[in-house]
Formats: sequence, C-alpha cells, structure tokens
Amino acid sequence: MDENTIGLVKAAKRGKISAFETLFLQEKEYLYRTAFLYMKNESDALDLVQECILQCMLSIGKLRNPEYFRTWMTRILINCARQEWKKKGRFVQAEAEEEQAVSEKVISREEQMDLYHAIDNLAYPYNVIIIQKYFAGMKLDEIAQMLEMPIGTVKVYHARAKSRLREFLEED
Amino acid sequence: MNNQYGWENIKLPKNLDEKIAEAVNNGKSQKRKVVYKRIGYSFAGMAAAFALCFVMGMKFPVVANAMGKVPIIGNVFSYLYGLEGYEGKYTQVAEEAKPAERPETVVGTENNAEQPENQAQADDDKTVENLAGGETQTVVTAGDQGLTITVTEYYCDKNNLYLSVEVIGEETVFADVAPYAEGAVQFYMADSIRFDDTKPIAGSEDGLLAEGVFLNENTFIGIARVDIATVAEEHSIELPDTFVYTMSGKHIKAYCMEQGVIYDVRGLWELDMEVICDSDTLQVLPVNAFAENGCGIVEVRQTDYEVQVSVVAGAEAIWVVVFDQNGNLLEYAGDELNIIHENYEVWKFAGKEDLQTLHIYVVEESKWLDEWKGQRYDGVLTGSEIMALLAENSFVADSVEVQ
Repeated sequence: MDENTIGLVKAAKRGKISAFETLFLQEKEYLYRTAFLYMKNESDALDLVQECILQCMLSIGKLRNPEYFRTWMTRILINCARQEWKKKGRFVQAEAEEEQAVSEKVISREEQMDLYHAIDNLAYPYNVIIIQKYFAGMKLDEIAQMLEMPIGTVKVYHARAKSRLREFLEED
Repeated sequence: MNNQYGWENIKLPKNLDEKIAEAVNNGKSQKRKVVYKRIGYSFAGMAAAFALCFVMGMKFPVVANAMGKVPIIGNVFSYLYGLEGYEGKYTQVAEEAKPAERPETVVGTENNAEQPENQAQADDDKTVENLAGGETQTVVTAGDQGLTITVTEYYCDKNNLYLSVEVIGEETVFADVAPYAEGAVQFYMADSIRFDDTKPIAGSEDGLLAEGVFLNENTFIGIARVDIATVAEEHSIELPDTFVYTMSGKHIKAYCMEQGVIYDVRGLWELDMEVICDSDTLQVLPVNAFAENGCGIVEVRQTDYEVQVSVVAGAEAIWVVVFDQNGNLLEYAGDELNIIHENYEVWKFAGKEDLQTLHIYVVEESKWLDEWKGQRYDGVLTGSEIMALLAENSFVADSVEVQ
C-alpha cells in the first residue's frame, strides 16, 4: 500500500469523509469485482458495495493498522455477503457442506455451471478462499489474516476448495 | 489481480462512482444524522464550508444568488461564508482572514535574487501572481495544463490553518462540470511549516484537500483546512505566532461527484506563505472530567471559527454528544465524524446555536447509535428529555460556560 493511500486511511480514521470517498473510489474496481463474484449480478453487487462502504465507515475506528485497509475492507465485504447469502438461503457453512455437496453436484451437473457458478456451490469459506486467491490475487497468508484463521487451516481449506471446484468443473 | 479467471472481464457499472458517493454520503448521515436540506445528488466529501452552510440551512441557490454581490476571486472566504442571511461568526472570520505576506526569500518568486541559475530555468514556466496592492500575497505556479493554484486568504487560530484556494486553468480544465457544482481538489503535496530559521517541520502525510465549488469549466474555489495543532503536537513544539507554511507537489485531482468526473492533473506547484496566527480568539477552557473507565472530557476550545471539544476515549468505544444551553443538539461544522481513535479526538462545531453553555456527554457508542440517537431524531424525546436521559446514563457529563 502506497503512502498516499495510508495517509487517506489515517485521514478516514480521523473521520475525514472526503478521505473515505477517495479511498473507495480508488478501490472501486477491486470492491465491485469482488462483490460481483460473491453476488453474481450487478444489482446485488452494487448493493453489497454500498453496504460494505457503510459498514467500513461505521467501524473504521476498529481498524488498527492502516496498511491492512484492503484486507479489513474485504473481510467486511465478505461478512456483508454472508448476511445476504443468509437472506437468500444460500449460506452454507463448511462444516455442514459434506452432505449438501452431493445434491449441489446434481444441480451443477444439470445446470452446466460455469466457473462462477461452480464457485457459488462452494461453501463458506471455500468460496471466499477461491475468489480471493484466484480472482482478487490475495496470498493465502493474507486470506488467513482476513478470515482470522490459522494459515494451516486456510491451506487445508484451500486444498479442499480446489478439489471440490475441480469436481464441479469436471462434472460440467 | 489475476485475470486468468476473468477478473477484468467483470464489467464495471457506469454508475459505480455514483453508488460509491451515495454510500459514503449515507455513511456520513448514519454517523452524523445531519439532515441535509439539499436538492439532488450530494457530494459526500463535503467541505467544512458547505457543511456549515447546511447546518445553517443554507442551500446552494443562496450561494448562486450571492454571485452578483460578492466578487469571488480573491474573496473566497467572504464568498463562501459571508453570504446574505448568514448570521454566524463566520462573517467575522471572513473579515479577519488576513492576506498572507510572502517572506523575503521564497523559492520561485520573481524577487528571489538568490535563486540559483539552474533553478531559474526550471522555474521559467511558473507564474507568480501579485494581487492588488500587494496586500494579498500569493505564491503560485502553473502546471502542465496551465493550471494556477492560488491561495488568497487564510485564517489560523493555532489549531487549524484555513486556506482559501483558487484553482484556475488558462484553458478549459473542468469540461464536464456545471457551474457552481460542488467538488473538491486533492493536492498531493508535501507540506511543512518553518520558523526561526529552523529546519522545516513536515506536516500532514495526507496532502491537502480543498472543498468548494467549480465556478465554471476552468475555475474552482474552495477552502482547505490544515491541522496545525496536530503537526505541532507530533513534533512536540509550541507553535509560534508567525510561521511560514509551504506546500510543494506535482499532482492534483479534482473531484466533481455531482457530474461523476475526476480530473487528474500533473504539474509543478509550490506554495510558500507567511502565516500570522490569530490566537487571541482562542479560549481554552479546561474541563478534566473523567470517568472511572478512563474516558472523559479534557477541554473545550473556542475560537471565532469553531468550538472544539477534546475528549479522551480510554478503553471504551465512546460517543460524545453536545447540546447548547437551549437543548439544541450541536451538529458538526467540519468534515469529520466523531470517531474516537487512539486516545483523543477533537470535535468541531460552529453555528447559530446559543453556545454560552455547552452540555457535554460522553456516552457508550453503541447505546447512542442504536438506541438514544434515534429517539432524538425521531422526535420521541425532546432535547431536554434526552439530555436528562444522557445525564443519567453517560460515562461522564459536564457543562461548560464558554463565553
């Protein structure tokens, strides 16, 4: 993160509205594309971006290290996405995924899902790990930090996620 | 980013910037709950100047109506604050805003006899603008697009340095903005202060943001606020009554969210101006009321420009609520929210309220945001009723005579 951006984050932490706006405009491509990957349509993605921005503004005081602004923002984005998934009945925890995976495979086979939809069939946090690593370009340790999970756990989840994703895509 | 899987194929919506600005504005409202009486789309990075206008219930048509009465260029403070119908102390400030006097040796000035030869060529394309009578001193340079940045007025109360800034292009620069559209210009410039021939003290890392209006397609005017007190505090110095403020940089961005446009301009700009502080207006009123959990009210500072309440957060997530003596909840004058960070925060107010007595409450953040604030704004409780509620439930409360 460059000095200008860190300065903006500090200004945002001090409550400077214009700094928030500049920051989010700087991050707009990342923010929107990530949101789109989670929501799969423009309207929901824009809603997610807006909700994420609101939550970021309300909780910026809790961001301890300005250098981790994007990681922190992404975590908020994902939390917001999870809330939306719950509302839409899409939310699946990893622990409960085993049984559901079978039926999801059936659905995926029937609907000939593309890559995005294959990811959509992954449970949390597998979907998050795939999206953040392969689309948003985050490293596993950054993802671990974002998800507040041990790196070892994330590595295991990553391997499982790839395996599941491969299965879905092969079935397509 | 990794495009192998189609990252960059995700098309960005045309209204993304607009949605972001909308969300930021919403976030601001959630924090402040200031009711902006505005028509149309709002620019979220609101200038302190305009935030004040809104607190006063001013609208931009009023600004527009004042156009014919106030010569704008060179009178930005007067133009932005000395408007018809405005009864606050800003009119006094506008009168007190003194022109900067240029020190005798300034890099890039016409009179700089000691300027090195190799510097002279580099400065060939700079322009120096001397305003009428030499009373309003300005240091300006022209950028690649012939963009001249001029600071015409300032006001410094030793807490903050307020600069009125004009950004004027020789040719069309802000092609897509409507006249009087609100906006901001971010100066990505290093700034510093120096005095007594000492080494310059680096200022904010954030650059400078001037917020105001685009008068036309080649002119922006606005006011920037420099947190001088923080600079002094970070360097453990006592700010003298006079100092030289400098800015230097090669990059500015102008934002006009109303039109959804951002202008990125590269050039070379330098500013070097003398500042004389007007600290006589500063009243510091120690309070030092603290709760057992460590949070509390340190002091109240009042100038003609604003009223500030300095608090200590301690370990709690706190919110500070302030009422005037008539039970009116004070709104924010500046561009800042009440986000407590580290161990202190300064609040700023200004306006029409009766500020003879401030009633200050340091409360639990979640209680205020989730429960009490809504009752206040929904009209469930009157000002005096919510003051009574807060008096019973706040971490610490105090009343301060500020006159």
